Amino acid sequence: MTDTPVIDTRQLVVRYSDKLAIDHLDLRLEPGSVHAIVGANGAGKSTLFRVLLGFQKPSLGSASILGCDSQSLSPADRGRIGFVNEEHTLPPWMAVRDVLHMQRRHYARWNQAAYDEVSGHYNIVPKQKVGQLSRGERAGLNLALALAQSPELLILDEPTLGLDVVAKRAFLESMLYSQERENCTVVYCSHQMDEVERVADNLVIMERGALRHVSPPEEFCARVACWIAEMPFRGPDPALIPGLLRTHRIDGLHHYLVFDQGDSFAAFLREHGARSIERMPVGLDSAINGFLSRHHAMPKAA
Amino acid sequence: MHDFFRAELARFRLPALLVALVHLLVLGFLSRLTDLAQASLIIYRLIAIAYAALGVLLGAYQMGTYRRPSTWLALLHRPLPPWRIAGGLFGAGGVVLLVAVSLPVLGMLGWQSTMTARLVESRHAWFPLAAWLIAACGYFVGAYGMLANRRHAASGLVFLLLLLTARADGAANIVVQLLALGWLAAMVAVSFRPDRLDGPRGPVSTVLLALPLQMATYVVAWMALSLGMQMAWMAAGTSPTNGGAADGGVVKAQQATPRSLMSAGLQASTLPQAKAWRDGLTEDGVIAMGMPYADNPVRGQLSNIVPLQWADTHTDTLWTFSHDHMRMVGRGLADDHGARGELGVGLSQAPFPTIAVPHDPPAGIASKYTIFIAGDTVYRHVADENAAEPWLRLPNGETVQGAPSVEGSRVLLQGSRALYVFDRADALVRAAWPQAPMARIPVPGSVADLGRVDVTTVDDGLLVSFAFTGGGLFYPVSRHQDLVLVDAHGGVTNVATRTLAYDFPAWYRYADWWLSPAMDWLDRVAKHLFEPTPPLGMSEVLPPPAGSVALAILLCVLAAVLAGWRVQRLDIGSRTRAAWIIACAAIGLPALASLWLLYPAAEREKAAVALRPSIA
Repeated sequence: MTDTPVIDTRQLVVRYSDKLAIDHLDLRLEPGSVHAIVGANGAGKSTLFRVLLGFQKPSLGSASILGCDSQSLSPADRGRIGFVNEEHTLPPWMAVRDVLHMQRRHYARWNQAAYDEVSGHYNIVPKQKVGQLSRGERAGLNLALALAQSPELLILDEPTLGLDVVAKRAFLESMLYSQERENCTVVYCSHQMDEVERVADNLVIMERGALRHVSPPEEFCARVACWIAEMPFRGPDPALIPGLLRTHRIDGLHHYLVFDQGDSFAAFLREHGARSIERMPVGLDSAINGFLSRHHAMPKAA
Repeated sequence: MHDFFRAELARFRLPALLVALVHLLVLGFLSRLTDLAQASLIIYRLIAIAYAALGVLLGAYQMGTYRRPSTWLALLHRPLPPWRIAGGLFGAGGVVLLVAVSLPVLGMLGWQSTMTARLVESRHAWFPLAAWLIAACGYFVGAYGMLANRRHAASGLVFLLLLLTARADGAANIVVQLLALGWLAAMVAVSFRPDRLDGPRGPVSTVLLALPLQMATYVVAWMALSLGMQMAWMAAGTSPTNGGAADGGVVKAQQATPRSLMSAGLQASTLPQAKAWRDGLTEDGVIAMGMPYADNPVRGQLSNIVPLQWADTHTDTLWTFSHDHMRMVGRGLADDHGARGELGVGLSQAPFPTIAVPHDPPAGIASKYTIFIAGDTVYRHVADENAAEPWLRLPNGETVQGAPSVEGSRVLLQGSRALYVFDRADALVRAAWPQAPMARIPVPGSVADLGRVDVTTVDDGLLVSFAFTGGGLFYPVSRHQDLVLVDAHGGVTNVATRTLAYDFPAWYRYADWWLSPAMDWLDRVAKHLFEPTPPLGMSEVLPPPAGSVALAILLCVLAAVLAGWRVQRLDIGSRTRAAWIIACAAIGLPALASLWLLYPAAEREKAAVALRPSIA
């Protein structure tokens, strides 16, 4: 495996009529890790994957995947990239064994053991039609097929959406097991922060098509803090609070979720009349939630 | 490719078998009502439309299930070139159509050939193939409709329109269908790619997609203009075809009674006898011969442009002309089964030289005997000998283009270049058969433009009116009425020439031309591809007037200017931009419309100036 970024976008722009789906995106993801891409709905994640796989032409900029121009991927290049989407799109009229047979013939580096290992977590009968599988079974089958391709890069676009907890756990275990064994790069897109926290080596946050943050998840969490202060009155004007992500009041205590604020923030709160101050660590879910809620769409009346 | 082929085949096998069964039942039902192998052109066209519609449905459904972004991605993101995936999917679709469309047709022909005395011959062997080709064309039209950007997804329909209007016959028509299928397959092939909504890449892809789109926009524009103006004139009560025709025009000439048309022609005559002739006209005294047959049946033709069957109730026989034997072949009229032998020319039952079209006997002479029109001869059925005898024959290699009419002591017969006069009394004497004409009246113009021929007997001879009102109201040909007098010795004298006025303004009549001369030319070339030489020759098409020429040039210049503005906003190379400007200058508005529709709106420019939201 080389050091060439598995994904490299330069000033990538995708525009749908008057809406920017991808906004001047410069993203480079290194090989050999699990990269989690998170963002609110409409952040441009799925569009990014379509561009990367050559299914959509960018309005501006460039995108490459595994060192190849996304717009001119050869069949051999595609064989190196696995993709699983949230809908687990497989032909519902085909029997599982026929799908398996077809995939096995198409992929030269087919790993039957990997398929058996992953699919073994699910109660999939070979002669069953894909359309007769439950959503979880279809997800498992889809992942098993993708992992058995022995891809250098595996892109998973919200693969656990709608899965029950057991199926989800089996899915993630399968993915992590295969990733470690094959040393493939995984790009994992999800709204489930517990999953992201569990699998991700690197966290990519996108918002409204733009890149907002890239770092390991723990580094990101370390930069987000929740300050709890007892204020006699209303507290400072939110517009003046540095790095504020979110604020709310619980039982008379002001909770300030802030980004990149050190101990100086305590002084700021005292200046504004805080009688007691406490800094609390923040989990990934709350940190990302607060980070994304700053610019999240809201009803005009809100 | 094999995997997709087998998977799709398995997917559609049950529906294909069900459709095949229903198809077979429908054909079986229809065959009890009529002899499908001898059905008229309109029946074949309706059946062809049904096959094309079935193909469109299959193509649209099959590709419709793949066109969702996630499904499309799952289909094409694999280590296979798209053409191999497409080959599997469309190959299976072709086999499905073979089962659902061609096999029942083949079965029906087989049943008719072996279980009945109905005529099935070598030309019918094309039917299963023609049915499959038409359905396959519809299939690709439906598939393209789903795959292509919705802005131009319907453009494939022009090929179905072409199949309906193509003038080629027999095997040549199969070639036209193959060409249409090939082009449609190429359109689908270049659209079968990951980014299927993007504009065409490369000159070949661009031409493949742009040309049908240009023809589609041209047809739509012309129909909108034509129908729109007709509706407007009808609403205003001034439509020439809806009660508002002016005197002295083509429509009035078409609608006139034989007497009034003859009278109008005589009014334009300067001959001194003209007034007396005119005063002597009666409604019953002028007979209408109608317009010449524009087309003759051709050997090997898949469909029958005229009925080739006739019933002899005296012998309980239904005779059908056989293209293979070039004779009539008989079967039981009542039981539909018993073979009744063959009917040819003379006692030797020789084959007819060309396709013989049975015709009702002319009123006033030999009214009991069926006649056959074939090439330069009219044959008469001689029941006692069960044979066809040559009866009236034209000289100079001219072909008979109408049924004989009786006017007084004469029998009149329309030839491909002249009207011929035979002696009625001689026509009854079998020893004089085949009878030669006693007079030849050259048509004073192109027979292809002849709309009607009316004749009457006057004291000095036979008065004939030729009205050149054929070929459609908008057809750009000279419109006039000519009257000639044929004296007792066969001498022909010009009596009058009356110019008929056009009912519609020139800009309307030439709308199909000035909208785009290039598309007008292409339209004609495509329709007449491999067409056999028309029996009446070519029309004398008039050049467009100066106003229409100026309008065509203006539109082409306008299209080029707008194209120059548009291409600056598109993500295409400089050569492609230049090619589009040249194409718009040459083709006009249809090319400009295709440029607009083929390429998505210019997102690059918008994106470049878009503001980036700031990071807090």
